[in-house]
Amino acid sequence: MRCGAVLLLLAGSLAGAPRLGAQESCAGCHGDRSLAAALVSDSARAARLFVDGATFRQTVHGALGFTCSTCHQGISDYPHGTVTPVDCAACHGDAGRELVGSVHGRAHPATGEVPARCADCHTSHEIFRSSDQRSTVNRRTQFQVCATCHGDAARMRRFGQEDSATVQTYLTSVHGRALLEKGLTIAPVCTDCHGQQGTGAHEIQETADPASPMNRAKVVETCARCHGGIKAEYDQSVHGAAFAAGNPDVPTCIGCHTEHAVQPVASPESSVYPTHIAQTCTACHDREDLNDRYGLPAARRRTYLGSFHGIALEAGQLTVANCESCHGSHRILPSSDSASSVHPANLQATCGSCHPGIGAGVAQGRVHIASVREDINLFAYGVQVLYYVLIAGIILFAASMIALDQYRHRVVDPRRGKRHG
Amino acid sequence: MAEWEPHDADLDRIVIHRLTLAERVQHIVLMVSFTILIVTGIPLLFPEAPLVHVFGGAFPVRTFLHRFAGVTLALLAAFHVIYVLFTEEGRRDFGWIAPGLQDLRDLKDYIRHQLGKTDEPPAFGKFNPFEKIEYFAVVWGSAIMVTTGFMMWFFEATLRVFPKWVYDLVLLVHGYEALLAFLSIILWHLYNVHLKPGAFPFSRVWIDGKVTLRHLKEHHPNEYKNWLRRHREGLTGGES
Repeated sequence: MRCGAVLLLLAGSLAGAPRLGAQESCAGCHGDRSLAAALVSDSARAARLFVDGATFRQTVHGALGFTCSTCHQGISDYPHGTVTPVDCAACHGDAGRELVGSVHGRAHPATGEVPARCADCHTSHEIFRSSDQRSTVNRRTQFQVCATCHGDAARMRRFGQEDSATVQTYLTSVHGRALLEKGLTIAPVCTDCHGQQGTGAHEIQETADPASPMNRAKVVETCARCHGGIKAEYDQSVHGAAFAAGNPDVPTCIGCHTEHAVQPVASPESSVYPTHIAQTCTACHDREDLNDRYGLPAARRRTYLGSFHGIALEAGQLTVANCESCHGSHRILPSSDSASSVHPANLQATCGSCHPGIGAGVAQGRVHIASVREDINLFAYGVQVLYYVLIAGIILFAASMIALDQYRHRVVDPRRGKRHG
Repeated sequence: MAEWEPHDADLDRIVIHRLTLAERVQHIVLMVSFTILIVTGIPLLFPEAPLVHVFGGAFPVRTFLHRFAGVTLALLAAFHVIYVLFTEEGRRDFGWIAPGLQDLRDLKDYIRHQLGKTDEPPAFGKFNPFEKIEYFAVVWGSAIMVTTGFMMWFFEATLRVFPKWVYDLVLLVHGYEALLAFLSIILWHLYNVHLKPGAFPFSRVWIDGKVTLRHLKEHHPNEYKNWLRRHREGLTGGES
């Protein structure tokens, strides 16, 4: 078998096989798909052994006139013997160092498996500049390369990452659709959020790592790379001020908007769309422990859903006020702050933005009514009790009168009938 | 000489006009507007049950219908006031429906009769104590519902006059009063008028306004006596 292969190799070079720089002898075997397949029984390995000379000559390395041995050093005869792995870092020193320090370069402590090597993202022989659309890491196709591993449940589980579905939600997110459907190449791709600004992809860290731009401490800053104006508002809000002070509970951008799946506010799938926003806000604001810790009022969702706004929204009228309509979004402030849209002094104007001409009386009372007694007053509570009594009374009255009437017709009348008979 | 009494067979033939056309029209308008108000209003009282989905997303249609029926009820109430004040039948019937001490005695007699303590039916006039209570409950309820309803409709103006807690009270009263009215109708009115033995499956009085003399004699004995007296006077008048 091997003798045959060598003969074929010689025959191939004599017949003028595709020239691979000065490496005709490599191309004799590696440039022939069928030959590679004949040499090894493993078809996947055979496919890896094949190198398309024509494509290689167009790649960034091929165009520079690199030969096989520029990277594959120490191969001089056939059979090759022990082949030294290609060391990209010999030239790409910075990228190599960055990768080694990143989550992708750290071998698994138990199995020793390295999450990703250069070729896993860049390929071996079809390397183009990332700005070239043919590059696997070009903005338009980068997601596919990342998802090769990050969407592979078995592979991710080997590194202790159970969730391999979330990254896929990027594709239908506002960012993913902007990139893939609208062709907006400025839309963020994986490395824009997960990579370091400037060096990009090679220094990616786990989000739990304080160095990650997606770490809780840095996520606002990272989103603000594009959404700077929003950060300026957020910084002034009760959430933003507490966040800056290191508070671990207040929401950052992703607390309300989600991350990979982030949708435009106008999308019915958005976590801050009118039909979802009450759920999103009350995920924190109806949490008893948080309300206790910060002295916040309870039952926000119930009181909203029970109000006319909440009822109309539930019935499908999306124009009615939701949390954001009154409280604002990024620059949200507590009602005790005189700059807040729900400060008593500003309430008439806030309500008036939907209800022109609304009276000043709107500021004289609570908006979220959790308890008639505590949130309206004792008089209203008395009226409520009176109605409870009246309603119980009408039920009892009707029941007893019906019972009495049935008694007359079912018990008394037949008895009288008998007597008369 | 024994005084004239109608023959037993005539009790079923002689027809008495219990409700005038104007009264029947008022009742039908009330019934239709009340039904629309209940259907378009009650679901809002139970936000935790998904009742509002009965509107199938047509919430503005609900709002329009509720206000339309509310205005109808308000106009009906105004018409009723005019009817009671300025028509002979209106003034006469209002005089009869006004409650008095006799009603307490009638109520006691009614309960005794229902329990079988006596075979004598209670001496009800044209309107028995229950009908009187119902009438004034409708008057009172309509006044409350129309007033609070308009305050809710024009809440911008309401809040120019009143603080928000008054508006909250208005919402509360409108809701509970609606529930009270709804329960009164389905639990009591429908049984007492239509479903009870003798009327089942339904009374036609609200449509044609007619009852038989027998019905009058059994259910409104005092009115029957009045009828008899008037009739006898008529007979004597005819003889002279």
